[in-house]
Amino acid sequence: MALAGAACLSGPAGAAAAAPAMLAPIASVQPKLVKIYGAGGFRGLEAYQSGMLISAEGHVLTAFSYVLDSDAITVVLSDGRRFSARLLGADPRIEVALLTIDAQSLPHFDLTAAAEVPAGTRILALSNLFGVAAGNEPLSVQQGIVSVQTQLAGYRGVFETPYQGPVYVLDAVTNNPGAAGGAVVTRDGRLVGMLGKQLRNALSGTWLNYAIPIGELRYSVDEILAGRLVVPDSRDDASPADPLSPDALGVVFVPEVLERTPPFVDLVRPGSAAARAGLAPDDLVVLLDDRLIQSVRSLRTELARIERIDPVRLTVLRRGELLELTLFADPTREPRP
Amino acid sequence: MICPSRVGSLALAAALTAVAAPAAPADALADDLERLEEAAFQAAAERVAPSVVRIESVGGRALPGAISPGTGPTTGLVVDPRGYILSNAWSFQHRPESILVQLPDGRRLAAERVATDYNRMLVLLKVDADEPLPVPAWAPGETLRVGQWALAAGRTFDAERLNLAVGIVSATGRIWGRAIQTDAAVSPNNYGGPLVDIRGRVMGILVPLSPESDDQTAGTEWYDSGIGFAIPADDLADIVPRLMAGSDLHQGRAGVSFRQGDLYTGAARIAACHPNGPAYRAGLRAGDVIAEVNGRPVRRAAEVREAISRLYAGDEIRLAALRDEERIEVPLALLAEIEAFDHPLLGLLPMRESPAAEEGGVVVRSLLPESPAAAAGLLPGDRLLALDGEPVVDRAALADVLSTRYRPDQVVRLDVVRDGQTLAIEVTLGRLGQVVLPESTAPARLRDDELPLEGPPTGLVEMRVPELPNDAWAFVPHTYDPAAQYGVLVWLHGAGGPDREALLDRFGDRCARDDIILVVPTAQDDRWRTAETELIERLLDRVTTRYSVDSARVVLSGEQQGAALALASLARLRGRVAGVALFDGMVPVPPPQNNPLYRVAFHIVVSRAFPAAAPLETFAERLQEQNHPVLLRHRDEDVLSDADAEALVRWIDVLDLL
Repeated sequence: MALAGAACLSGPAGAAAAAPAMLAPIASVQPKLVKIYGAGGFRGLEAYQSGMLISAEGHVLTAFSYVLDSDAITVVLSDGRRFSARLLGADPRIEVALLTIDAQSLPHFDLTAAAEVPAGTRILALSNLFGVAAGNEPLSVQQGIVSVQTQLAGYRGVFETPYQGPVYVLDAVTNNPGAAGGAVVTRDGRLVGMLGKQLRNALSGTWLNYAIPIGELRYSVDEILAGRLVVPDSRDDASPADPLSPDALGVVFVPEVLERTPPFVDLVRPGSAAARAGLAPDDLVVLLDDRLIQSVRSLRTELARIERIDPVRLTVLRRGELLELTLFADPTREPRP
Repeated sequence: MICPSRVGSLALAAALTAVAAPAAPADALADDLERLEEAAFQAAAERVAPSVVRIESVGGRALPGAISPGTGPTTGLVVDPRGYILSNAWSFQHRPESILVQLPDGRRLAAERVATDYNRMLVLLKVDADEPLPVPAWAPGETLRVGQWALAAGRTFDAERLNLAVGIVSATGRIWGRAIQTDAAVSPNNYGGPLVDIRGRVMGILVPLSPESDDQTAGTEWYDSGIGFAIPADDLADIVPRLMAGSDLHQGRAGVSFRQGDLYTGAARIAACHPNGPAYRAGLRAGDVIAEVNGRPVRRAAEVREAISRLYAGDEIRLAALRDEERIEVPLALLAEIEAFDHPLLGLLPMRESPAAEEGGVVVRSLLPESPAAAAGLLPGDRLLALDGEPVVDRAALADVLSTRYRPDQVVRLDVVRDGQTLAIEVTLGRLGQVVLPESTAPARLRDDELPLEGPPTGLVEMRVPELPNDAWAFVPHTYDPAAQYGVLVWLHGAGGPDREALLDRFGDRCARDDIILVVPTAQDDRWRTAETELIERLLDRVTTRYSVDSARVVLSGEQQGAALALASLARLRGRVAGVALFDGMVPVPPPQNNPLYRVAFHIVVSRAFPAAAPLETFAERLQEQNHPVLLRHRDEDVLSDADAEALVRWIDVLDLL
């Protein structure tokens, strides 16, 4: 309310007032956005994307992509000035990159002032989707709301991206060719996130419209600016030295006759981890820890990600009831009753 | 949201700018409105959230298609505190082995499928919860206004939070009266979830639907497009109790067809009355004009279709119709499936040149062996003048009358001219679905050696549609004669694109012999996409306007993936395609229904090495069950041979049989 009051008292007059105040932030945001041109140009691989200025000295935040895989990266400012850009650094784990151009006193976003917003917040997405804008033309503006905030980590095998952190899912069709690196701002112009690369849901075949919250990028940006960024091996992808398997648990599932054979227990070996935990023939495994298991195949894949000595929690469907069982392939780790 | 200081400043600003336009206060109000709206979206979502559940499924069939159901989580809405949850049927058509419902607090419960509504794509599930589940507030139908806020809610990303999309109500009474339309983003992310108003009251349940198709996957191609649909809450009040009773609901069919172009023009005149349908059995016939459905006057065929397609199989309705001056009113019970239609058949091939106008009628080219016409003693060269006293205009009109006015086993009287004498011959009509196509026949027309000097281009002709990116060419026989009528063979290539030399080598001379124009488009991206049905339609338009085309012999032929496009195009081009040929095709769609108005024959070729031979053969069986005439061939090699081309062209030559 205080803000609204202030706006009243210092109410703009003349030409500025001709446009509704709620759209005024677009004019202040546009000069902070840039068009980026680089490698690509083949079918399905556009040679452009979007970016945002994050310092007065020409640092440009954008998505790390094949477009930057070029010796000649060009950045075009909102006033049409063109600059050769240099790739300062990138963090491939979160697919973010920083470019620099030789310019001063540029309007820019302050990453430390970025906003975190709840679902249902109205947003504007600014990007050069489909390369519509050229030269000094402003980027395209789309409107929508934050649909939900979710963690990409929960979608293993669904979204092929190294970025596993939180995203803002948007209800507008924002993530198109050329949009990556674009800005998502609140209707009053506060920076919320950066549009990510196109991401297709491998299971349903639908496209995801999303932005990465600025807070998730800030650390990598600081590291790149400080020249410290070292990309360590991702520990998430390390496969276990001695992985689990149905055999190690002493359980045999029904034969895989279909692509999506449901994981019904066919038999349980006496004395095995499965038998000790009370698994029984005809049980249908539906969850491994909290992960939905849709087929024998996906169960095998998930088990292979677990160290053999670690316990595994299975939820099974038995005569319409859900039961939770914990299996210890290594009997020495099993708690004594 | 009352804020004295702001009201004060408004008054002050207004006073200061009494003469100038009061722009600044309006801006402040707009800003405030934005915030109020945002708060209202969030409040609406919070209100409905306790009733919105996340649903996962395990097992089930893998289904083909660009967007596949059942693999991701979907959404459901509590509709009864005893644990009844409504969702969308699309997400369950893979028939999962088990269904898990996750409540907003994260608990998972096993769910049973109670029943499915195939007319509105809804599914009712039941869980056993320890406590009554919260039912949402409903928005009464009369409160719905086009343009009002509409929020589409799903619970697919996270169990703990809703995913929201905001838009407006775009229309009501869509999809033949069954759905509300919204421009909020509707997709597998929120199918099964509620469409709520700004107060958080449920206006409807989100489902994929398409106005053009009742297919189970129809409408998913429109995800996130700004066109989404929801089944209205008012209708749910009637539907949910029926589903609770445990029986599936199907769209009700009366068994009447209207001409495609007549839906919105003219009266609701029945073009064909399915002989096995409820309307026919109740005494209605082709030519009757439907005037009332359940006592409500209807003026257009579209209104009849809307009134009936809202209803379910088993529902009883009263139809009033006008026959000449007489008013007929009949009760009838709608059916889910009408026993397949079978086109009645004389069993003869007609000559294709129209006899001199003063003579009229249709001349017999040849008789199918053991056909009803042959058994009745008809001979090649006979001129059919009248059918049960009605003059025979030409072969197209005769085919139309037979299919829409007669049934197999009926006895008809033909007035026939033979050697200057008029004979009356009685024929007991046979069935097209059981026809065995003849091996070879007499020429369909007498050829004129003198061809006109001027005419449309012949030989290899560029056929590209200017607005579309696809390459396309045609081969028009050099002997093209505008006075004759030509069949059209649209060849939809398989992997690797069309091989022009091979196609011309196989089809060139044969097309010239049998009066066929070969049309060969190329897929834009190596693989055909469903949207390219538009290309097929436009190509047919072009050929039809430039050349003299025989609509009884227009054939779409698809190789491998082209077969799917041939079938998809058939659905779009009902009534313009007489035959479909499938060479080693993947056939994801259910076979088309047989229809008195649109007769389609099928030519199916299966190679020895074709991996999906079994589904294709099953498809052929299903077609036969629908009484479509089907020619099924097997071959050793999966390349187009001379024998393949000859069989296809011979088959096209007899498609105009009567």
